[in-house]
Amino acid sequence: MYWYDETGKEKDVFVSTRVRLARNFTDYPFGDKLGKTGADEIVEKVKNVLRENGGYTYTVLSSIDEIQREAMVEKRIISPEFAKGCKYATLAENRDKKIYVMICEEDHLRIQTILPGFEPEEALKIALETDSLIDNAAKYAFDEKLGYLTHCPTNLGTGMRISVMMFLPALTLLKRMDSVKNELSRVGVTVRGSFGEGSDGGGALWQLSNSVTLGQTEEEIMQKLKEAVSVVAENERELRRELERHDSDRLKDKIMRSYGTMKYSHLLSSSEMMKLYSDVRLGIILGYISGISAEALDMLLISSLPANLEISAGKELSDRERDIIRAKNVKEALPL
Amino acid sequence: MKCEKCNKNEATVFYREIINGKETKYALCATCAAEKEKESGLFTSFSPFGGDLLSGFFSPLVTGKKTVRDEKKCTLCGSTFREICSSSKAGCPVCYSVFREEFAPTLMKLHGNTVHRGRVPGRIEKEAEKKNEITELEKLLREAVAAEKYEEAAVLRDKIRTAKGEI
Repeated sequence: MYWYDETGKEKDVFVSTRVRLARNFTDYPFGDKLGKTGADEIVEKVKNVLRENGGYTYTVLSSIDEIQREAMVEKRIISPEFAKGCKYATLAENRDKKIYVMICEEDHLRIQTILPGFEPEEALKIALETDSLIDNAAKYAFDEKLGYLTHCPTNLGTGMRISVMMFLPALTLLKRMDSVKNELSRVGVTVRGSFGEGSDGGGALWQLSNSVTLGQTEEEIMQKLKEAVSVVAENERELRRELERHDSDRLKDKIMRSYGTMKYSHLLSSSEMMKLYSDVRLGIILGYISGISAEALDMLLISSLPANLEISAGKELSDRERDIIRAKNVKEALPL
Repeated sequence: MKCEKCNKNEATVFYREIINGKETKYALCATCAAEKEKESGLFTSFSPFGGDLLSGFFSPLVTGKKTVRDEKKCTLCGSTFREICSSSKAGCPVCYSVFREEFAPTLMKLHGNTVHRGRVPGRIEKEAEKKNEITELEKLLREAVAAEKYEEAAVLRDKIRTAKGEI
């Protein structure tokens, strides 16, 4: 079970919450300068700690195919940098607890937790608990003024990135996202599209995260993000109500036409799936579409992304084949 | 070479400004460089992923007149500040101490005039607690000696030795 197929708080707007802590060990260089010996020692150190806490599986990234790595990126459990660059990278995954520890990524350690829905306190608590376990057993690189020392100076201090994936179809449709971005940047929150390149929110899915890592406590950073995104959530909900008040027939028509296309297409591209997804998910939330939950649709979206689709098909696919299989899978998953 | 602005500290940051074809060179210390940044409002939009912007800030003449052989190297990873500039990333945790002054203007730009608040690794906390304990014991030792309670003082002295050994 992952963040996308489980129920969670406020899933009408919040798809998932993630906390990431960057940590490094004293006496070892970063990134490329860390040789195989150093990397093996670090992996061993971390494994010894996590072994005692049970429930972890380990994947050495270089031992799995590129497509499997890509599928993990699509599921958002590893970063694209981790998938591409790191020769010695190992992922320690505790699926029950939703903890993903990337070992030897840009930093020696990136402790991540991803929870469904809106759970900033819980996500922070779990990440810090995992951090404490490793802290007790190893020497973290730390400076009194600069905090936790990281490969990139932008992560110094708490080394913490907290983000939420938000579903904002009304704000996206009414082209309010640029103004949201400007407002939020003033309070230390950055906004970018969760999927798709550049800043566009494919599927009306946006990632909002803190930009400050140094000078505030972890709790303060979490609270500030929580407050800012709660305002965005309320704006989104109000705009949805306005859309319905203004012309609910037109809104329903738009949504149901998208549903029809999703259900009855023969060829369905990834980008079209994203567009239709945002209408259909809104339809589910507003009660126009029943028989499928928002979580089930989220899972359908992830499983329809290129790498995940190819893995489930069990063979390499051409673009055309992918579009056919995607359409077929989606048709089968959607109720009549 | 002394800083051109304050004439007190060593110059470690070298700027070359080209505006409308006119070139001006500055040799500044870390503190004056940071102030200049604030005044002139350069690099107002910093991109955290900005290899360009960050390395543009660091380069081109940071190490000044020193030869390659003379360039300061990190004691753990051997990185020079020039290498750190071109990648915009530290080579290892020790780089931040070795190049503390050189990093200062960039960190000021990135994080402002802030210091770390929040979580501290367990061992650092324990060290801080021990240091507080030792300070307290040393105070009691001075009081015991002043009061001519030499037996008590001896016990305290032994406790202090043990505590210092544990750090």
